[in-house]
Amino acid sequence: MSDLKHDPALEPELTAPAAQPVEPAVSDELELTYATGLEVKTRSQWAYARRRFVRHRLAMVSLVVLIIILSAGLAAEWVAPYAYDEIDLENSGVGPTLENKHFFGTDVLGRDYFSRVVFGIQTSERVAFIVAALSTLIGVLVGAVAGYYGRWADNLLMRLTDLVLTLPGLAVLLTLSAFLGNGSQYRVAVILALLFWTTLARIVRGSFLSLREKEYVEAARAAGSGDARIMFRHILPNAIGPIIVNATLIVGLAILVEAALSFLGFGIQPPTPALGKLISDGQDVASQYWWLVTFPGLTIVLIVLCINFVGDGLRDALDPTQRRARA
Amino acid sequence: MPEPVLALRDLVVEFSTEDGVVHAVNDISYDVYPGETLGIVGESGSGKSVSQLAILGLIPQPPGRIVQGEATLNGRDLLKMSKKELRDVRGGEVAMIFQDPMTSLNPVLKVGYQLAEAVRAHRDVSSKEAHERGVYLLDLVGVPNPERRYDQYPHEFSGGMRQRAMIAMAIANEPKLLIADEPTTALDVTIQAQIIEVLKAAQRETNAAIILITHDLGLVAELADRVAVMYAGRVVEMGDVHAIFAAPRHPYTVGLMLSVPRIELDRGVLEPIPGQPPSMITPPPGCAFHPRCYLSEGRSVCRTDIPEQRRVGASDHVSACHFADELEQKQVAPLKEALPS
Repeated sequence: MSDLKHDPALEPELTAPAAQPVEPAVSDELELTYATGLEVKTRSQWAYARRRFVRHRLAMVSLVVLIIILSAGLAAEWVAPYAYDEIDLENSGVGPTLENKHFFGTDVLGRDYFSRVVFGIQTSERVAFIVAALSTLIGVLVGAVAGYYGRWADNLLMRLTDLVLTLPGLAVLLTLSAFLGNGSQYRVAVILALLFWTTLARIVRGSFLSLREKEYVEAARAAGSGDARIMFRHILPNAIGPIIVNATLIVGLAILVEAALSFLGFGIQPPTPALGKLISDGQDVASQYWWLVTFPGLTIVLIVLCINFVGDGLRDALDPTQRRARA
Repeated sequence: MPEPVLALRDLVVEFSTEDGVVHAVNDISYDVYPGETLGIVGESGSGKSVSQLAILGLIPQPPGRIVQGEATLNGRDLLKMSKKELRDVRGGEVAMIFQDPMTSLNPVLKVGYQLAEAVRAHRDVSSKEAHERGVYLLDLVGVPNPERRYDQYPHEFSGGMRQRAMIAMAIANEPKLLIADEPTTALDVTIQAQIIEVLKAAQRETNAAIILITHDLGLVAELADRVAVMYAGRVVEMGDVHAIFAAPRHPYTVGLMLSVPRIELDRGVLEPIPGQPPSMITPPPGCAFHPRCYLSEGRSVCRTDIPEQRRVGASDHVSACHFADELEQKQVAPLKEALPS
């Protein structure tokens, strides 16, 4: 037991860096475990978040379904048995069948609807990804600058945000797409992004407002870090949770709104297949060809539902106050 | 005497609040010399920290305002510098150690990353060199397994280890001046002693001057060469640490020393300084300490005239009390024993 007694000779001597200072064992449990060979598993915040997410069953199932759907879209060229505009005249207007691989049936022109849905997913994915990336970028920039600098920058940017928020979404969308000319999926994506950044800007501003008062921010400033470095290296990683969740939810929202726009004829124009457009095409003949509306519709519902569940799971997982994983 | 590292002259700092103007720092001046430690003591709100933050441009303006003053660091006035120049000084020539190591390290960034950043903010080095310097610094401040610790997050560090890491960051660029703002307050007493040793070692290594802000007189006795006692935004007494501990020449300093609990003296009930710290919006006229002063005894000069700093006793010992000389006779007995041996 004598070696556990406090021995003044064991006080850290710091003259030469070469000499390993002897740490009084009790002061640091990690050192103790190193010394005794017992490894304490230390986990990073990400590891904790991952564990919490994996234990969130609904989110995990949704994630798997989502991955299947999205990779089908990504690999549409290989997954789809037909090209999206390929016409199989002999089998026009058939219902869902395994014959000739018309899983979702064909339309009056004999185009394979499974292939069209898969390509539609690809279009939606592309639009949603651009919208999420672009609106997150804008939202983070606006929110960060407003929250970090405060005062007139905050006032200006937040009034701008309020302005965009008060715009009646659908009306603006319709006007803009009519004005800018519709059709290109990229143009649709940019328009949506210009409307969707506001929520995130507010969230990020709130986080920055509180985080900029943290002592480690002051410490970073005292160490000579510049504003940009403090904002994006020190504060942003601490605010990343809500940003990720919001980006996920925007993907879902973008898919929904893009579908609605295309359905109304203001979104993506033929020949590019879009899920919304597929529904509106099938709508006229829905009484005879029910599959033309049902499958694209179900696909949208499934994608959006899964994204929202995944977003929920992420929200729980990234919340650092939540120590326990949900069953 | 060598050239001072920092020569502070007539610094005045105010804050505008809804209730009025807070006179946080009123006309303080002092010099800090290379390799020495200047302790700044005083109660909460006496302007200790604010004066330091002000010279580094770290007080938010507004509401803060530096009304006047000069802070000459190596011939350049910090208060006249552009933001860019000041940023180079911070963490370079002047570094700061904060009170609470639990909150002053960024929880989401690895300790090593934060160290390397401190290095790279001021030196043009490769990331590999920054890494090596980071590990070297961790070793220097007595963090065991520095290679391994370098890649850990702050939450994997204990409080003492974090404060060591903070000190490592502060001395990363061999600063001329190290400002330690209550470096041990948030720590366990057993760790405090270690951190003091680390600070001393860091000072030996870099020959930096240290400004030690604290309200712990024990820490001052342990570390400081000279002391400045602050009250209501003014330096009321300043001088050699031994001289002041042996023979304080300001009634406030006497009060501070009498209110330190000492286990070896059977003193019975502690004697606090009567009254409350003054309002910094409307400080008492004359000497700000007069309403709480046992020496004043209602003499009118205390209420009307702000006392000037005057030389008392040995060389650089100054006191801002009208009746500093009377204290020479009225020495308080227990104080003799409070002198650090």
